[in-house]
Amino acid sequence: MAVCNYWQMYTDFMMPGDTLRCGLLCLLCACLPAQAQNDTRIEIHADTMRMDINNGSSEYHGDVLIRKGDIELRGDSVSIRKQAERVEQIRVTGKPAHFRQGDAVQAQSEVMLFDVASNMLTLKIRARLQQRDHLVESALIRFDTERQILLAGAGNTPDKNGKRRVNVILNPDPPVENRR
Amino acid sequence: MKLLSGIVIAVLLAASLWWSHDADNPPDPATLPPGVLQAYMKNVHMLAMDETGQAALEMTARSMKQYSDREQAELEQPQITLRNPSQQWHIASAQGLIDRDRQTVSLHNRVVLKQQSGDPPRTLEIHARSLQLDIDRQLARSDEAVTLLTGNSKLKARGMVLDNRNGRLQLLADVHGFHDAR
Repeated sequence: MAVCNYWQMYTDFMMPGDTLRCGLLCLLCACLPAQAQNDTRIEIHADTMRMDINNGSSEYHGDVLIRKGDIELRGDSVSIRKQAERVEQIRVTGKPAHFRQGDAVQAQSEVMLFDVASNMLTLKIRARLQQRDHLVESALIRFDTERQILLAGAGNTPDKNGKRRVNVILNPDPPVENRR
Repeated sequence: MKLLSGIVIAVLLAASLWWSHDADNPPDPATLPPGVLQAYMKNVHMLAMDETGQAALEMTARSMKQYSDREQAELEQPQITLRNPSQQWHIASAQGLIDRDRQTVSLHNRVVLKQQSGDPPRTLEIHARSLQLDIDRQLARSDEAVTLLTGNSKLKARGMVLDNRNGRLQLLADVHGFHDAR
């Protein structure tokens, strides 16, 4: 599909002997797919990997780092579930596992589930999520990484007292004169 | 009379020479000088069966050379098919060595392992510099750099173990690469 678009651009843009335009077009063609790749690529670093050849699922162990766009997940082990060669879900475990999205969001929990199609992150067990102006603590936090919307406590398992607790700490606003 | 006795002597000599040659016991390789080409075979085709009599491994090679002072025979362009009810791997390389007991094959120089399974078919490909293959246990191992290609994923690592019987693949160290989420 992308090739067709580039070919259309090429035929619209090119004039015979126009080497400068040709160079610019080549540069454009080289840059655009690279940008698209960065958004869809899931980069992995780990010490070891184990794969079940029958279903294609894989487990990574030892200081695992996953990157997808501006999202970074770190943990002791990661399992990747695939369906028809597409990565469906990334499960990260650690004591704790860490999540980071740019400089805006940081989170940690013992189990993290990242749904690749919906970009939804689920934090389970001792979950903490810090955004610029607040910190949320709960047994369960769901976070939409695309829209940066957070849902805490839903589906929480009750604590010893039968209560489902969510703690939110709001950072006080800095004085008006210091804001800029 | 002289002619007759001459013929008798010649026949006796031929008979003694015939009986002294034991066709069932070829010359002991240990008695051959080192480095002597003991056997050369072209277009080798070998089939190894498992304990149930099923073909577990099929190997072809352009040629096989056995030297008198070596425990392994040299293989040129070996191609191996590892069979198992659920998995089938095709392994190829430029060169290889096979032990005298035909239980271990060492492959080197552009080793490629390919497997296709599932519906729709999914291809798994591994590139390695060298590979040791345990035929009985259907285990393939490499301690060098390997590259794993599957669908739109590419992973590199140092060392791997492929257990064909259990359908497991392990990358042993320094794993890095990417999955394409598309």
